[in-house]
Amino acid sequence: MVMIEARALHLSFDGDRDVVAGLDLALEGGRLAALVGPNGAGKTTLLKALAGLLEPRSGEIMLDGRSLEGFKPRERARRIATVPQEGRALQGTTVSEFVLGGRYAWRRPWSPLTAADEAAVLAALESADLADRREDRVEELSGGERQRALFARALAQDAEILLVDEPTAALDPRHQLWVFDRLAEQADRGRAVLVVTHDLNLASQYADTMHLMAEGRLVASGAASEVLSAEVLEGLYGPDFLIGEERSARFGEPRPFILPWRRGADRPPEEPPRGDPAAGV
Amino acid sequence: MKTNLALCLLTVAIVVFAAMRDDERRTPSGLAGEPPRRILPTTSDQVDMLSALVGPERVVAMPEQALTWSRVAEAEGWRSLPTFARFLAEFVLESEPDLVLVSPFAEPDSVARIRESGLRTVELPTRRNLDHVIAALRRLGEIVGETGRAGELIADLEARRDALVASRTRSGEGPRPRALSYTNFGSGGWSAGCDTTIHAAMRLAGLDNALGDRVGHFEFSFEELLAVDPDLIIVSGAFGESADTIEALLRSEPGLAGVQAVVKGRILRLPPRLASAGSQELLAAAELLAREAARVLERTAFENDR
Amino acid sequence: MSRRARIARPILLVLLLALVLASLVVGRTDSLSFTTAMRGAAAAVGLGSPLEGSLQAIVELRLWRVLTAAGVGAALALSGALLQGVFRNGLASPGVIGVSSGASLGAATAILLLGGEASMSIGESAGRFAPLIVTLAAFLGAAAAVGIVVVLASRRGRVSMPALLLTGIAVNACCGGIQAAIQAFSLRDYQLIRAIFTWTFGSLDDKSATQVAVVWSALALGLLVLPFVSTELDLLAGGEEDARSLGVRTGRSRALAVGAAALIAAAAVAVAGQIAFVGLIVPHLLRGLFGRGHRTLLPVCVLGGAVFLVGAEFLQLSVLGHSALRPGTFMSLIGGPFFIVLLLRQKKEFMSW
Repeated sequence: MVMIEARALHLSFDGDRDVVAGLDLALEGGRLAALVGPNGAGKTTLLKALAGLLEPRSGEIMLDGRSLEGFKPRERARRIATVPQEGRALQGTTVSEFVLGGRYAWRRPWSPLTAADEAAVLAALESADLADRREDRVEELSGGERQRALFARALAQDAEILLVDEPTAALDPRHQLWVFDRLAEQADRGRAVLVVTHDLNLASQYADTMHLMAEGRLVASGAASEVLSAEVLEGLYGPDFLIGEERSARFGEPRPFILPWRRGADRPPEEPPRGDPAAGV
Repeated sequence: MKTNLALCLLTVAIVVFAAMRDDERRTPSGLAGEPPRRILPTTSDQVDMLSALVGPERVVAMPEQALTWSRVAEAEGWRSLPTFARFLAEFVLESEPDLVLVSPFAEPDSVARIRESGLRTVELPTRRNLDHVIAALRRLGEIVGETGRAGELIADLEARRDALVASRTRSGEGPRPRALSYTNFGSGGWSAGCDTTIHAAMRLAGLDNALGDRVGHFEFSFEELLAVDPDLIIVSGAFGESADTIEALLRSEPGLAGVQAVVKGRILRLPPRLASAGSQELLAAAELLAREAARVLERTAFENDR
Repeated sequence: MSRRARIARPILLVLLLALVLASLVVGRTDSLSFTTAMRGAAAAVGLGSPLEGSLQAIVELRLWRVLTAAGVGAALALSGALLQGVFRNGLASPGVIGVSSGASLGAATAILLLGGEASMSIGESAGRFAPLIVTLAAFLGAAAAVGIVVVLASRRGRVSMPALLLTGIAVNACCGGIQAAIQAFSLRDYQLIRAIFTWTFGSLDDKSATQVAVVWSALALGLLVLPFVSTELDLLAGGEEDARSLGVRTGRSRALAVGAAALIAAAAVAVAGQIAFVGLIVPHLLRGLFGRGHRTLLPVCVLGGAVFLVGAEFLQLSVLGHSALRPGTFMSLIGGPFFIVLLLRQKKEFMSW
């Protein structure tokens, strides 16, 4: 089921140059979608627009058949949660206070904390493996823990759409996998999850759908094996990579993986070394 | 949350309380028909005038500044009166007066609080010349029930004024000397135009205010002093010996070598008490000015014929 | 909320009550006995018979004085805490960024137009509404000053420290200059000069019930706004976009907070004149005790500000008696050195701006 949909979307910061130009994208519930592409492709910009933080120059983002711009901020935040790349907090804020920030959209100004709020915060802390650190201050957390705190806050928001920006940039491999496990978990619970990432391999082994973006447009969308074809990749990144295939634990079947690999100037680009990407999976 | 609610309630309670109390006024306690026995003057000019009409036993307190600025500064019974530093309602109320003399310059908030508390207040109008002073004395005499003494005092003042005018006409019909009032405490000079007590004193003394076309007190530069070049300069220091300082300043300034009054030493000193007296002391100031001007002009007269 | 905060709040409240009562005992004139002061206070709220002679009036004068001091202290501290939250900068305060001088200029302009009696609450004529008009004018001045700061010193919700301070200097200079010019041109009118002088140096003496009502009403409005800005200010610390993604109406929250800060500071300035540093010192001290979370900090600043100014006045009156200094003067005496200490402690930080 389509939960949020962008139609003929044009985005720009200053009104001059379109960072995103004429893009269509739909996110479905129960699916983990990955948005990949080279630097400057407009991925983060698109994510902000989907989160309602950037007004489209033209085109529309539809949520429940209504334009996203018509939603009140709280109403919108109850439907869409964002995990930014990095977050700051007021000095001295504890982890659980920080995660409580995710409940903002559900609370009323004069009313005290409800049981639902507390339950949501606790559940989110547990999902993010931060339950034992909840009384610690945010500034005492390591980079990875901070990332998890941001994730927990988005979970506490209890929104059906989860937009995640570069969650693994600063993490070691074990935690990278941990993050994507959690994202897949959320998709399996029926949420629509969109993750922006540079890591094609994580995207490939976890994402139900991959969207490949370049210069403000979608170049390819679909299953990982379709999107990560040698032709498409070469067009985007040049010839210096290796492509392979390995079984994905999430899907129980093989998915492509990519390795940046300098081929050297003396050797002209040729057939990809292994397999036939055009054949698919 | 709860703190905020509690604070809101507290705040609203105070607002409601204040708003309710705002309507309450006490009726004045002192009866207008009876002469007041516990009078409270609030400026040294008022003390001047009051001291000519009643004894210190009918005054409950006076402003601290009266010890420096009033004619009663040396009078035994008056010196020992309680004093207050600032005109504030609490000081006034503490002395439990039955009449408060307020000046038009008094802090309106304080006057309002005093009236609200039920005390009888009388505002004496500002006095910038002898006629004002006489009118104020007449009024004060009625208020304190001493019309007789006020009448005598006024008659005396009028007689002295006439004597002053008479001596002036005796001394000839020549042009009046142009005088200029000057004060400077190191942070720039000040002078006065018409509608000031010093102006009134000059006129009574037979002098012309060189700046009579201007109004009130204003800042006054050396350049203007050079341009005006008065016949006489009247200096008065507010603090102790500062008349000396002002005179020394005028003499030491090389740029003022062209000012006749400075060169010829035609500098008159007025005791600070008399320099801005809005009371019968105004006439004393005029008499002193007339004497001093005659003396200085005579002493330097031969230089005029140069 | 920390345990320290839970304990310290009632302590502040009790301290405030104690100081308020003590301020009825000690005043400009001789101290009263505690029982006399209490009987007078009870009579003022309609319990028991009034004290004999002028004693009742004296107790009530002290009551209005302490209520003014408490209201003004609370207003300035809350205003400072709100501004520091909005600008995410501990140096923002009504005095530093020009809100106070803007309000003062607004008040002076109103006085100029209405005449020197404008500060009088008791209207023989229409003066009854004058404090409200003066407060409104002060609010306009304060709002204009904040507007200038917002436009000049912030970009996309972010405020640069040097820009904030420089803007504050500029706004203070402009307001001070215009006010000095007003004073110079109205030199003839002693009434005006005196009223404007009072605004410049501050006064808590001889305030009317109306003036007390004005400052506390503004404070009540400010308190009503707090639930709509406290959490929002906490979340805004994470950045504009982050707060918006959580559902915060950032523009509205900031406008509400700044508007409330301007209004309460303006009411305080309109009633008691410029009293510097309360808005800077109190939030700073309380942040150390209660942390930075605005839901705790803002209400506590109301209590702390009241305690601070009432306490300072009580101290002054007990030691110096009738020659106690004007509150603005006294605050500058303590506040200046405090500001220097504050800068010394953060020297490393601000050297890097």
